[in-house]
Amino acid sequence: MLFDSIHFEMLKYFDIFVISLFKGNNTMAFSILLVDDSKLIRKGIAKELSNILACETLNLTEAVNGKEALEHLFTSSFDLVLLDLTMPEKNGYEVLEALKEKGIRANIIVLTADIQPEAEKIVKKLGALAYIKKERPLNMKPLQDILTRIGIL
Amino acid sequence: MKQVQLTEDQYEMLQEIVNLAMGQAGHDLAIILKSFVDLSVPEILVVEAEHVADKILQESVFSEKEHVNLFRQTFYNTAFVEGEAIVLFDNETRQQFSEILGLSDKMDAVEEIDFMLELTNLMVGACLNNISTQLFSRAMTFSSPELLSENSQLGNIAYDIFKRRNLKWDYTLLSKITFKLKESSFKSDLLIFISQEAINAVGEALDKLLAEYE
Repeated sequence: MLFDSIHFEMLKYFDIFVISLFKGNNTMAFSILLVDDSKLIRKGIAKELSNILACETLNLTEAVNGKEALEHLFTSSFDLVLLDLTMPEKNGYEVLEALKEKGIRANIIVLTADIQPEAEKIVKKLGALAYIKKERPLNMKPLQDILTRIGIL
Repeated sequence: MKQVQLTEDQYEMLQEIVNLAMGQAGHDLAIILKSFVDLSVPEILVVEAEHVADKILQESVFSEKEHVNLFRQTFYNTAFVEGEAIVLFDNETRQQFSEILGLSDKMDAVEEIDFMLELTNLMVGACLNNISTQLFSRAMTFSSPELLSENSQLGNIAYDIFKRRNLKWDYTLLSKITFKLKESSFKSDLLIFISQEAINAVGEALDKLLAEYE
């Protein structure tokens, strides 16, 4: 794990350290949990991620709802989690609440069509690193910007 | 009778389109109600006329016995897509408007109806314009929303409105979106019926969008 125990609020003060960590280790595997109920979105993001991430190996795990996501997050660690909010079984808010309740920290970027003004505040309060509005066609620029900001790109 | 159906990929694409449209409607609703809106996954399916009433009762957030208020608004665009939307509010939701909006005086029955017409216009407009823009790069044109039925048991009104002999079509593309508020018992269903003739146009537009993911 590269920085799973470091909270983003702390992490942002260590940009230089994190960037050098990644740039010096471009042969290591990078693990991402991609949580979205849309097969199409998972396919599109997976394709874009493999294009933009420069690391040698991308270990991508997919979950189709919040329940599946929690099963993965309770048993494994990931360098990054991309989380949708509106999903069956358990939604993204419930995933964030469950992780907070259990004290599990993860680097979570929310990628959602829920664009109401409170949504961003709520997910950040629940521990998400960042909030990105879903667009169609898929726009990876906001995600790229965040990955650059936290030193992954 | 020709079988009308969408492929699995077309459903996936439409699900994502309706999801984005629901997000826009949820945003607009959150602003007008000054509340946080709980969004759930939209239901989308092609339904035969014979089964529409049963499907509505099966998919609605309201039970068959609940008393609801129904509003209707029709829409069309220049890509020959037309249809109608029905919005349902239960009586409990209706009685809470004053409280949700923080009004000191309780709304009277006429004000409640006016407000539900306004909410219908907002939800239908936000959703359908967004769907039409994504699929056809053009906006929808809407009729004025109208009250279809007040304080009616959902089971009775669904079978009454969607009697087979009342329907001029054999199939419809039905989308159901439920809006709830986190901090109150506000509940509303938005039912979108796309006409049978338009399903092919929707399918073709979906295929073009699917090509972006290849």
